Amino acid sequence: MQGSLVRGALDPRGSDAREIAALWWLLLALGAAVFAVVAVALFIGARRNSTTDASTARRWMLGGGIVLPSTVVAVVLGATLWAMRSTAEQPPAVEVEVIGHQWWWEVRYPDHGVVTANEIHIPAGEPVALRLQSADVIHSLWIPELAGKLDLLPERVNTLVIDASSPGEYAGRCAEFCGLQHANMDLVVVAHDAAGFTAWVAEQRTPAADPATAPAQRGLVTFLAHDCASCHTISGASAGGETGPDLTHLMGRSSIAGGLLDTTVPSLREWITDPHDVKPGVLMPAPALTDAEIDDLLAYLETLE
Amino acid sequence: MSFDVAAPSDRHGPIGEPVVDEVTGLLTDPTTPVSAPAATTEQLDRLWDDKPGLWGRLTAVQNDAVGRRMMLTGFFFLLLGGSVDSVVMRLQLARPDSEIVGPQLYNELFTNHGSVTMFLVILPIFEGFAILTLPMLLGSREMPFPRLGAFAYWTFLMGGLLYYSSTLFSAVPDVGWFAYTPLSGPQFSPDLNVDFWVLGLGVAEIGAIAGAVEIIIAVLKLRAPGMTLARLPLYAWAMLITAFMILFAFTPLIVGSLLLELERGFGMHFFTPGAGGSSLLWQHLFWIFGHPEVYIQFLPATGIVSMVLPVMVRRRIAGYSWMVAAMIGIGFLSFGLWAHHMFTVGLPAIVLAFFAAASMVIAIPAGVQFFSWIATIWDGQVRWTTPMLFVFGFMITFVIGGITGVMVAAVPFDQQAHDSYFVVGHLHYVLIGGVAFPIFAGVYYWYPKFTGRMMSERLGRWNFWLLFVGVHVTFFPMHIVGLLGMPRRIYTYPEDAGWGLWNLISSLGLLLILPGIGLFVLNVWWSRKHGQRAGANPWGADSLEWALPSPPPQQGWTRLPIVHSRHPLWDQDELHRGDDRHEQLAHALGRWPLKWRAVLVVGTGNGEPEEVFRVANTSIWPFVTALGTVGIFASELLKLRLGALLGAAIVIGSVVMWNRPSPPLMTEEEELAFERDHGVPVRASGSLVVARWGMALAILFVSIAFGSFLLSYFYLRLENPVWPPAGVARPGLGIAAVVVVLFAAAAGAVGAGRRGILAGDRARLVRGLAIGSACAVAAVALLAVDLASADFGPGDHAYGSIFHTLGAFTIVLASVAVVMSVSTLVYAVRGHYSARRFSPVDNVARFWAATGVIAAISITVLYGAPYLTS
Amino acid sequence: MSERTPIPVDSPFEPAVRQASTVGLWVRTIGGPVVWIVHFAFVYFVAEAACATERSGSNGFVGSDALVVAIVVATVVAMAGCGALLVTARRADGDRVMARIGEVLGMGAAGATLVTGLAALVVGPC
Repeated sequence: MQGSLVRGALDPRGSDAREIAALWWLLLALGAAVFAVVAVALFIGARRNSTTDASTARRWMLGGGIVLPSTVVAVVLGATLWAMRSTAEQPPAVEVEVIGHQWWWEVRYPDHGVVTANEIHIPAGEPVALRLQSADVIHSLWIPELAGKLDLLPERVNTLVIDASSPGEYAGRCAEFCGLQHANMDLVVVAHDAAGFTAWVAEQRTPAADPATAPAQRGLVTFLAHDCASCHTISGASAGGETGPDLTHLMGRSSIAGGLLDTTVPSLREWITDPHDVKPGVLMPAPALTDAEIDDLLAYLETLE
Repeated sequence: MSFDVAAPSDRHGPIGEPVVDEVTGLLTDPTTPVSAPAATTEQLDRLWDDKPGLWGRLTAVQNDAVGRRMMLTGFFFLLLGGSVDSVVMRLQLARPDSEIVGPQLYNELFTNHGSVTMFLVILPIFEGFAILTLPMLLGSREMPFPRLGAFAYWTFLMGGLLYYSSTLFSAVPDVGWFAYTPLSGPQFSPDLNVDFWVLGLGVAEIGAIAGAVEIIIAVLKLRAPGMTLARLPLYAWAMLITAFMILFAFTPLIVGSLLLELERGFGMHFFTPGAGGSSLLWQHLFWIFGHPEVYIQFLPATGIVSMVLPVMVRRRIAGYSWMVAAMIGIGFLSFGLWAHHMFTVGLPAIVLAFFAAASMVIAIPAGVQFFSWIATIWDGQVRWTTPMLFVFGFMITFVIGGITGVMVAAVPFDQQAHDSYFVVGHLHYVLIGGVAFPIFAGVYYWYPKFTGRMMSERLGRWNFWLLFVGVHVTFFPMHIVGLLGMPRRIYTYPEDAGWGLWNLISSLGLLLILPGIGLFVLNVWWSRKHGQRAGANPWGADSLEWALPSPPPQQGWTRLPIVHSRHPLWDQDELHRGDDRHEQLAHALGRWPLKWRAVLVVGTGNGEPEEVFRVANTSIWPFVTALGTVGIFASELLKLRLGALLGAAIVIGSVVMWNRPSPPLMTEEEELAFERDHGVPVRASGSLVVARWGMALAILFVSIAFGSFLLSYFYLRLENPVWPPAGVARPGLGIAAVVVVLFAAAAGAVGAGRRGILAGDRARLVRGLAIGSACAVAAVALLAVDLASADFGPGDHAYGSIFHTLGAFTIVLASVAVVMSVSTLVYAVRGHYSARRFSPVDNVARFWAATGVIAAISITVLYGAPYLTS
Repeated sequence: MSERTPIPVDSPFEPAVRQASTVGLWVRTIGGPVVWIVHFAFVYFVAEAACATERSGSNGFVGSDALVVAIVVATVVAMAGCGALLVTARRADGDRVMARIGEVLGMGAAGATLVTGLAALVVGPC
């Protein structure tokens, strides 16, 4: 959600995106040249009031109609095939399962036993294989600075290999129309240095601690009593629902609601009070809670670092 | 009378006064040949006129009426869906976090905008324009099947209205114009929204195909004597190729829509992954339609440009044969590109590679077209009239869209650009620059022909410049914001995304486009009464329609023109002189027969007279058939299965009525007398040649539909490692063999009946039709019983769904053939048909031959493919 | 091109119209593109089948090696087909303009066939 995240496809920070950006500059140069040829030919042709019967047709048809596009197409096709060949290489360092839901991302690390949402943490400088699949409709994962997009289908697993050349945060979002809240299905890729990634994994593997304060303890009871646990998992707290995002380390994530709100206590309150007001159509039902219960719940959620 | 023009400029050739001189000077240009009036004009006008009053409107079949209605309705939908929607969307996106509309309404808006412009605007405008103008352009009096044309219009109108009626039910389609499964499936879109999309547009798609059949036959068979294929105006070529493309592209979409509706309404599984379906199958079926659709819109536009541009630069088009080859090439290549809309779904690299190759290769024929226009401009002298301005706007804008098109054909780059605003920018450059601008050029160019008045040049210039600048201001920034990461189809975006400025500029562009369109509407309306009067040929054009008075009489050509040149009005001093035989025939057809609508058929290649036939007259049945069709779809929408049966009964009944033989109005002896004088067969009971073409295209349509079912079958087969699913027995082969034999016997018997009537033996015809119909009924019954007794239902799994659907398709096809042969049998028993008048028998025999082949393949696949394992 | 084409072959007293056959015209004009699209469809379906085989493991109709062979053979056959069409088109007499159109399309189709075939081979199976 920071402004600094916006750099786009032409400011590549990963090898796939870098390759594509290079291809783009080639395409742009060729395209500009073709446009210039056509525009100049058109304007000179229009100003030139030919009075003779002599025809320039043959020259134009062969030169402009055949040779020019054939050359351009040959170069573009060659560059395209070259870029396509060079994208599949090296075995990945980390495998991540990314599962698209209406309208959030489930992110699982089967080798590390870590589950999170709307954030993909990766070690910088190493190839990471994202195994993409959808739990409902077709989604598409697009992280413009790192790689081209790839769809998440319900019927098969697609693999997207990404890497980030340096630690940092890279914005991603759903690019395939997936229903009412398609616009609010963002995620962020966080690239760590090697030590940082190990530390992050270790932290994520820790189950949630038992709440220490009284409000937080009441909050946990509220959480379990009001069916929150039938959709959300909090490891260490006997909450194992799988419909919604895993909340074990909720406060460690930068945003909630598919990128719509920053993870702060006021925004959590806004969200829990009426998720449909914040994100119309969201599949989470509005919990029927009193203000006091919400206070307690927030006190508990705040502990989920 | 002043002719509005902008300030003169000697730089760019004749702007200002010279234009006035040139244009008005040409009004009386003595060198332009005009069509000669005949004493019979009034009689012919009465003969060809549609009836007055409401009844007359409902029964009208004249190409003028049908074409005009289609175009006006298309423009009406454009204002509704193209403009209103986009204004609201641009308002919403002008600023970040804007709350003018919510997500539901926004999704409805972009779904509607795409669906309406792709299905209900450009297509009917082009088909309508072709139906309106082709007879004049080709030197004919009518389209080949006027009733089919009327049917095309009614289905298109009613389909559009059915689609729009979703507003009344608050169930506006909201899953995008592409309706990807499973989002559009029963689980994620349980309400009626998607049904309105599938069924409403489905009706309009049927109309599109009906119109295409008309256009193909008109161009190939209904031309002036002497107009060989090589003398066809380029616009006619463009429409011929487009119409074939419509047939090949819309049919798979209709099949896909049918499968989607079977999944939504009948619980079948074609696209549901859990039950063996594949969400990608829908994408394939949709884009096999969807990509050619772009070229279906683009080719007619290039046809218009190829007509307008040479006239405005006073030079023949450079490289006519190259141009035709390029258009045919584009028509074929466009069917090899569909998967470039699927570059991000995870297709195998090898598949991506050759779809990328085909997508780029199409740049070459497009380049040929482009440089043919440039060469023509280069060799000519440009007259800066409004149509020419739009042609220029087209060339500049479209070349950008074409270049970005090659860019997105580069697979890796497309994986960035796909579904981003880059693509939105690209496609609007193509569709507005490449299609809308030529439509404007065409309206300004042909307006005087149909109204007898010129459109205002002053308004025209404002119209053009506002649109041209507005389009670039609106759509160019979209490329940039797409590369910055803005995906399509989002109803809002946060401020810190950094897309605000570009979106604001895009939205401000509308402030130029809207007055531009307003001026166009104003100009069309104002010029009807106040425009400068136009003579027959105000632009000094070369093609036949400009030899007719403006506006032209009902029947168009009183005396048919005789064509010796590709540019008859430039090269011929006289339109009615030529080969003696042609001259006499054209002369005779001006005076005879005055009691039925006579149309001349010529040889496909050589343009030599081949037949004079009686074209169908006014009829209420096309309207009733359309009502029945829309009744079937509307009943399915409301889940009134009985209503659908009623609709089907209406369709069958009205089609039989529509085609029932009418009294020939002339004895065989009278026909023979004319034949002896002019050497051309006369068919007062209806054409043999045109009917054969009609049947050939009907068979082609059925075959493409069947091919789409087969494609779906084998695609599902590949997606399912176990086929049939575990626990399902393979079908028995005994009954299948009997059914195939019965179908073959039916086709053979009907064929034998046809040979009987050719030999003048009606008894043999009756016998053949009776035996054929009986065999067919037995085959259908046997097949139906076998399908019904299968130990799995259509809703059990994808195998069951496609098995029963393909089986049902075969049954429906055979039933149609049975209805045809039985009704022919009835007429034969009543004494119709002779060795001269046997066209319906001919058609039934051909349809039966095709049905036999299709049924045999279908049953072989249904019963044989489960045995095919690796 | 001759301005006066010969009188048609219809004999006015025949019940059935004898039309000058246009099959040859169609074959000469659009034969090349038809060859291209058949080649394209064939290569696509074989590739789809081979890659489905690879995805699901056992359900094999087409192996990777067979795929490469199929593409090479199909491309060679299709290009030979285009060549044969061009040769017959040159020999046939008919409208010069239509012959020219057929010639351009035939050569274009051969080129397009080669490009699609090569593109598939360069990237390799699945």
